[in-house]
Amino acid sequence: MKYLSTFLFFCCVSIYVQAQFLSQRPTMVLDTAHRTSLGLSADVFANSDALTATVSNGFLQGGYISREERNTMLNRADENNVEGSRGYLSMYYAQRIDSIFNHSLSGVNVFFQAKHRIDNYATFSKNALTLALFGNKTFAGKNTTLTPLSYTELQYQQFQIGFAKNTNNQFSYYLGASLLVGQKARKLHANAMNLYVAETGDTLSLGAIGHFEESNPINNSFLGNNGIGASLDFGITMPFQIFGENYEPSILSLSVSDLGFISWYSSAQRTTIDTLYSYYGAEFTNIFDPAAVIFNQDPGVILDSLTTQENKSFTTSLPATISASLQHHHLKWDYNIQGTFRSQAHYKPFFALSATRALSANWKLGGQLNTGGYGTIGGGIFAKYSKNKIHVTVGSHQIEGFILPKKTAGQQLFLLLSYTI
Amino acid sequence: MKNITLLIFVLIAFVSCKKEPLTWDVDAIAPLMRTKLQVQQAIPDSLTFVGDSGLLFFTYSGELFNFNLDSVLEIPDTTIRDEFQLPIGTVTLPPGQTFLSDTINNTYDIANAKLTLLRIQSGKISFTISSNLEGPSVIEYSIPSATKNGQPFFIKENIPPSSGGAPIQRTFTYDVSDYDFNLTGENNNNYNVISTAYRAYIDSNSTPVTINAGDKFNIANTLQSITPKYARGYFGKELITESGSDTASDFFNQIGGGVIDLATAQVVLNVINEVGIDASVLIKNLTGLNTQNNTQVSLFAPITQAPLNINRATENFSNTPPVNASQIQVPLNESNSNIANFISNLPNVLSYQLEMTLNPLEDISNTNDFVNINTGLKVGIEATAPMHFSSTNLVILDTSDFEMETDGRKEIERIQGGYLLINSTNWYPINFGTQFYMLDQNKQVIDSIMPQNAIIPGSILTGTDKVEIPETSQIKAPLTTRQIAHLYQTKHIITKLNFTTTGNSQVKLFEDYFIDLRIAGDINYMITVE
Repeated sequence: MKYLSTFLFFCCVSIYVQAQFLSQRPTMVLDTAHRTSLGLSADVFANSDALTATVSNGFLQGGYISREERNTMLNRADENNVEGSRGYLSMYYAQRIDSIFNHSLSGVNVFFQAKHRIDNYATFSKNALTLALFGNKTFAGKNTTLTPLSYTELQYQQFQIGFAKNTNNQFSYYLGASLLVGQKARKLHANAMNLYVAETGDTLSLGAIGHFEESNPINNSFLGNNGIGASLDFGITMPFQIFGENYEPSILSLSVSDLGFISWYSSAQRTTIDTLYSYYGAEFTNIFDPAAVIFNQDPGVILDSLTTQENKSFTTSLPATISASLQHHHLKWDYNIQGTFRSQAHYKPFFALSATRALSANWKLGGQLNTGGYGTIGGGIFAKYSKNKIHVTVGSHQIEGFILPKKTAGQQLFLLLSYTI
Repeated sequence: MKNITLLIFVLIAFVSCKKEPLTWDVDAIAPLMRTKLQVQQAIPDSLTFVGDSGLLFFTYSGELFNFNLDSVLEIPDTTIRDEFQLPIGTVTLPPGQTFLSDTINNTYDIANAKLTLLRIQSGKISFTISSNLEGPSVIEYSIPSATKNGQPFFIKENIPPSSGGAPIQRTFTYDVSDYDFNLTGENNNNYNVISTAYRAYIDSNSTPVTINAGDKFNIANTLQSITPKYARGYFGKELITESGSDTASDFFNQIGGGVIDLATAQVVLNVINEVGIDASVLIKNLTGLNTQNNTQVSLFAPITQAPLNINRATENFSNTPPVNASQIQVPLNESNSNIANFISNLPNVLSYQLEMTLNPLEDISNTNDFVNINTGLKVGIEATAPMHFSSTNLVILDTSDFEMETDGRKEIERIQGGYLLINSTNWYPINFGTQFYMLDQNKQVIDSIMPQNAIIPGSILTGTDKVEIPETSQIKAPLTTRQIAHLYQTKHIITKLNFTTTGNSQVKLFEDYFIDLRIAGDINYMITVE
């Protein structure tokens, strides 16, 4: 119970999360009118198709989760459920270059980015959720399967260098290569996990096959170095005519990001379990002599006896993100349709529809409806402000968790500040 | 810029909010403990054994009475005096001249006894000499009949001269431990007699001493604090009565009430005579008192109706042990006594009245009675009874010390309430009522664990003596936060077991019977994430 709760805790603990991917050209790709851009961005995100924002808010602020709230989560849950939370904080610098090695270049800029990233994702069964939220009494007299059960937590810094080419603000491409410095990785995966609770309560049996990997738990603070890796980001945007020639072409964007890995040093630990363990309680040889206890062990001691541990390096493949979007501008509106998929992250295909309206020369206001990813159905609003060289975008693509935290989960906040000349 | 600043402040405030723990309650069911409970565990090992067929037996072996006959060996302190005095005139005695000498047979007044031999364990003899002779003198004193390692008792002391006519007094004390005193006198035909001899004379190194009329030389010798370790003779015909009460057995003090009806019981009284004196014993009254039920049963048996004659012990002069005790076994059973009823009353206190006559036929040994110290007459009891009985609310209580471990107290106090599920498989044909009382450091009851009238039902016998199918049951005992708090105040626990046999007939308990007890918690637990 304790470990399952810890598992769910780590699912929700961090709300400093990676941004929802924006549908237009990345900010590091300079448009033809500008030569330099630098900026800061921050994004926090959490969502789940079973848990509600009550849990994520609870880990931040504390409080009691009522049975009604937990029943809501259980009613939302299917047999297989997911949860994801990510956050990043980054800064970038993009600079047009006109020539390299005496070759003239047109529409080319280089960019540099440093980003601090935290990424958590999990999948869990309805039974596992029931166990964590309500206890094991529901399963009395039954043999219960708890899988799927998997959780991954990553924390690392990304140092990226890349170049981009933008020909006419419609066709562009970019490529970035990153050095990744890893602080913390935890991965729990249960291949099989079954729980039996006797109806009379006198037997508790757990069969489990799985493993838990953890990078060096010491020195895992910011900029601590417990692993090294690399990744690639690349993308392309191009005009795409949907409507007749009387209309502006739409912009099709395709991108792949975080195609890479982190290799964690041999100070990491791998714990393997493959056992069936039954617990019957402390055994007394003579009830009239409380000191005559044959067996009574702390659960931690039991766990140590059933698992094998070794110091071993391991490699984490980053969840690569594949995204495609189509944007169309008409009058004062920008319309966008997007699809995103992340590999190896329990991420359901994500689809979003956005619409942005220019309210003035400086202000734009937009909204988005989406489905998939780690949630069900959600949406958000955002605002963009541009004046002279300053650009600010702030908003959320998942506000349902702020409005109805006891019934929905999606919560996101993002901020982008850029200065472009 | 203003908007961005505001947003940053909002985020900081959000993150900086004081964080309470995140909590939610879950319903958990988990095993807590298990044990195999057997009746033998509640009864000291010395009180049970297993018969050939696996049937359990009660057994008890102990002493009912133990009378030391050291009282017949009491020797009173006795003083014997002698005196020399010149009535008239004056006489000058040369050095070495004896002026006082005698051999005396001293008879000691030892009530009812005619002793011929006394071996001393401890004691003293003291001499007090008073002399107003004006010259030094010497006193020699011997007890020819008192020997140690073959040597008779002999002392010689110098008495200094008096001065100015005032008598000089000296006291000398000698240890007579381990001396053998022959009390038959000079001619070995008497009893209680110690022959002594003494001589007082002028010191050989002195000048002649003039003794005037009225000069005295007094001797007083005293046997004091004599404790014999052995005596022989004739100790007289004597009636000794003893009465009192005693704890029957510490186990019976654990009986807290109820009734038991034993099917049968076998008791043997062992009467042992360790002294060389013929005796007859009559147990005038032996009553067992059950202080819990306030019931009593007096034993009715041959030994309570008529005296039992027991021969004297004999001496074994060349072997070990030195004394062969004489023993008589008196069986008590249903045909000659009410012993089953006596034991069924579960007496924790025995009161008795005993009469013992020494030498009922007087001196038939011709003064060859003997007594060693710390010996006497003993009446022991060996009782066995099969655990074949019926019982109604028979209560056994046991108090044990208890200390709740404080490790994990924080986790335990997150239990919001629930139940203890007491699952049992009971092979005994006995309904067991159980209760555990929590006592604080002042041994005051502060709480209990089980619900009222919680019973573990017993198996039902189906036509045979032995249970074939055990009874399975579950008791749900409410567990409250108040009880958990009290557990941490508990320093002692009283375990109370209540036995009532099933069915209408007596049941047998076999050694392989047991109660498989498995206790689980069905609790509401508050999970807390800091």
